[in-house]
This record gives sequence, C-alpha cells and structure tokens, in this order.
Amino acid sequence: MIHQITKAIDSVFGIKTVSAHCDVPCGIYDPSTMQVAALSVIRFIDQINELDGKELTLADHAKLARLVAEKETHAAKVKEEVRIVWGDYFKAAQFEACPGTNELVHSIMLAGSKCKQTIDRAAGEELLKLVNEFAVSFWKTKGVETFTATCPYPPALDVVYPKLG
Amino acid sequence: MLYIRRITGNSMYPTLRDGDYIWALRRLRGHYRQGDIVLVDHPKYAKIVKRIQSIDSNGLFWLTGDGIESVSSTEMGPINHRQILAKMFWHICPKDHKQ
Repeated sequence: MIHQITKAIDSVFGIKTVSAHCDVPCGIYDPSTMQVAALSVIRFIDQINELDGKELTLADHAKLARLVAEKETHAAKVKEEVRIVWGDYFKAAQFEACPGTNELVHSIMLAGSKCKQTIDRAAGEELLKLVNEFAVSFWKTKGVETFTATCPYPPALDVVYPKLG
Repeated sequence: MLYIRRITGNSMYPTLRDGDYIWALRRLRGHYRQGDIVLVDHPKYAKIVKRIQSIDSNGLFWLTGDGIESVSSTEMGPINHRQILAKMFWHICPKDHKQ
C-alpha cells in the first residue's frame, strides 16, 4: 500500500534514484557488435539507393521507411557500442597501449552521426573503416593479433577479425 | 537532510530490490555504524546505496553490497564520512518483496 502510494507520487513528481546496480563490469567486450552494425548501415544505404529512380509503389514506400529507420538505428548502435567499450573497458593501460583512441572514438561518433544524416555510401564505408581501426586497437589491448578479410555476406567489405585459437 | 530515493539495480538484493524506495537522513559524524545502509556519493560510482562493512582505524568506511552481484569492498575502496550522504531509516517495498 505504502509502496503503491510512493510509486504514484514518484510517477507524478519523479523521485530521484540511487544506484544499487551490480556495478560489476561483465567483462564481455567485443568489437564485432559495432562492426556488424556498421556493415548493416552500409547494407541499408545500398538498399535505399537501389530504390533510386524507381517509380515507388506503396510497398516500396513502406520498405524505404523501414530501411531509413534501420539505417539510423544501426548508426546509433555503432556509437553506443563504441561508447561502452571506450567508456567501460578502456583505462589508463589501454590508452597507453593505443594512443589516439580518444580521437578515433570521437571520429567514430562524428561518422556515425553523418551516416544518420546521409545515404552516401562513402559515409558508411568511412564508419566501417574507423570501427575496424577501433577493433585493431581493442584486440591489441588483449594481446590478440588480427587479420582483415572480406565478410562473407553483403555488403562484402573488409572487416578486421581476431586471430583466435 | 532527508533523502527519498528509488532503488535501481540489485546489488543490495535481497535487502533492497530494484524499484524499492528508501528514506534516509543525514547523520552527524560518528553516528554511522558498521551494518548501516547508507547513501554514498562515491568518487567512481556516483550516488550509490551500500552497507557499511567496516570502519578502519583511520576512520575510513569500507562498503559492501548485500547482493552477490555487488562490486567488492576493495574495488569500491575506502570513503570518508563526508562522502556518506545519509543513513537509511525506512525501506518501502511491495508487499510481495517483504521477507
């Protein structure tokens, strides 16, 4: 009863929060999530551009709306994933091992935003290039070598992978 | 000073759960004891709620969480009394959370 009343007051006036989060970084960081998101951005740009010059049906308009929305969602996801690794994982030792990380991350933030604003494929490719650079840095901090290979699915672009096992 | 706060997270589980509310009051130095649940302005973790695990010979407070998910006392490090904002004196939780 008291909890319900307090909750109602909270919903109206907004009681401040205090954190009892687990506070334990899970320790699971992997740049693959941001790389896949960057590839998705390019794929959506390609699919959007495939509609160019076409007389669009209602179904095409619906598809275009979805493609634009997903492109922007995935560009934002790249930024979010990079921010987490940079903010939670990178500490003094990692910054020392990879000088220039702050500038690189800032460039990724700008490139991610640009991908939201445009349907220029070059913007997507630039985002992927920067994310790949970030992946190289990340794996370097783990003492893991990397290699570059073409991803086996559209948009079939170069991606940095860790040499594991 | 009186603080009314909503709990987010479960590092104080099962004592405090996500969505519970607490009332806490600022106390004078020397009135915080081992076992108290306190609001802390932590230099690394910002505003957190934890339990005082111990008070060392230098008067510094070591914190702990009741939940297994909580970061360790060592990782939180010692804090001084000025970083303790208040001591919890009332815990409001849904009926089915009561132990």
